[in-house]
Amino acid sequence: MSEYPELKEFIEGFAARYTRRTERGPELSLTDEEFRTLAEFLTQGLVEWAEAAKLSDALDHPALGNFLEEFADRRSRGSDVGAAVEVGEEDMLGLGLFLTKGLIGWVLKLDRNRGRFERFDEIVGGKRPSFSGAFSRRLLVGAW
Amino acid sequence: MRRPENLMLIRHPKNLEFKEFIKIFRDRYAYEGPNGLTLIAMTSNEALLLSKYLFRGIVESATSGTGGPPDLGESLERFADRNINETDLELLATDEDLRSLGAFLMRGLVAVYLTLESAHGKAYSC
Repeated sequence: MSEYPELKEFIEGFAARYTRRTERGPELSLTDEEFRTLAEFLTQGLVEWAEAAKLSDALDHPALGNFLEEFADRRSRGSDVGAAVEVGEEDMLGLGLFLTKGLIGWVLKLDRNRGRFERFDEIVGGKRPSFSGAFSRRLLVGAW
Repeated sequence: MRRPENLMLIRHPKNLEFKEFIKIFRDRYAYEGPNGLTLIAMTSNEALLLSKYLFRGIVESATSGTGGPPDLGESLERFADRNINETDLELLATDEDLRSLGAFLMRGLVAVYLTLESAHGKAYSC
């Protein structure tokens, strides 16, 4: 039997500690600074991956998974505490989909706030990928 | 009357690969800091927006109270769909990309959780 908590237990433990029930539903008891930590970590990792890919000759190098794992390891270096959570394949995909939708909604929001929608077309125009991989997923997304 | 930016929304390209999307994000919002570090030009409130969305979705999946064991993926997808207004932008991502992003999000959540525990003087236990 695994000694690591499953994802569900981990999330329930988190919810039990840091949320309170209100008339409007569960409400998180975190400071703005604590909230921001996650967004900064995620966006920094993704931008550094894109930066590394820009310097690489191979289009798919470095691989997203390996790069993000190394980034996370670098960021947590120096910490004397750690935790491991057991996550199943389907849960991992669900989390990935959730993050992707969130990221896109968030970026569109930034673009709208800064009036940059037209430039989006300029950058992408003429170089849309042909994407026929057997495992590709199509996500329909938008802004919050 | 709709604002011009909203009208532009419908002009987003379709069939955008995840990698391309992140590169565009980098081109728009990342810059090199004084120490050669890659920095992201976003306000505190903008960072807050993304984090709140992610935390709320995760917590809601744990507290949905549907009785039976909730499917995390479905629960998060429902939450995401409720919180977005669909446009015609479509993004293509492989299962491998999604797995990598899921693992990355999980690592970030664990790191934040441990930081919280440390800050609040609670010992981690499950």
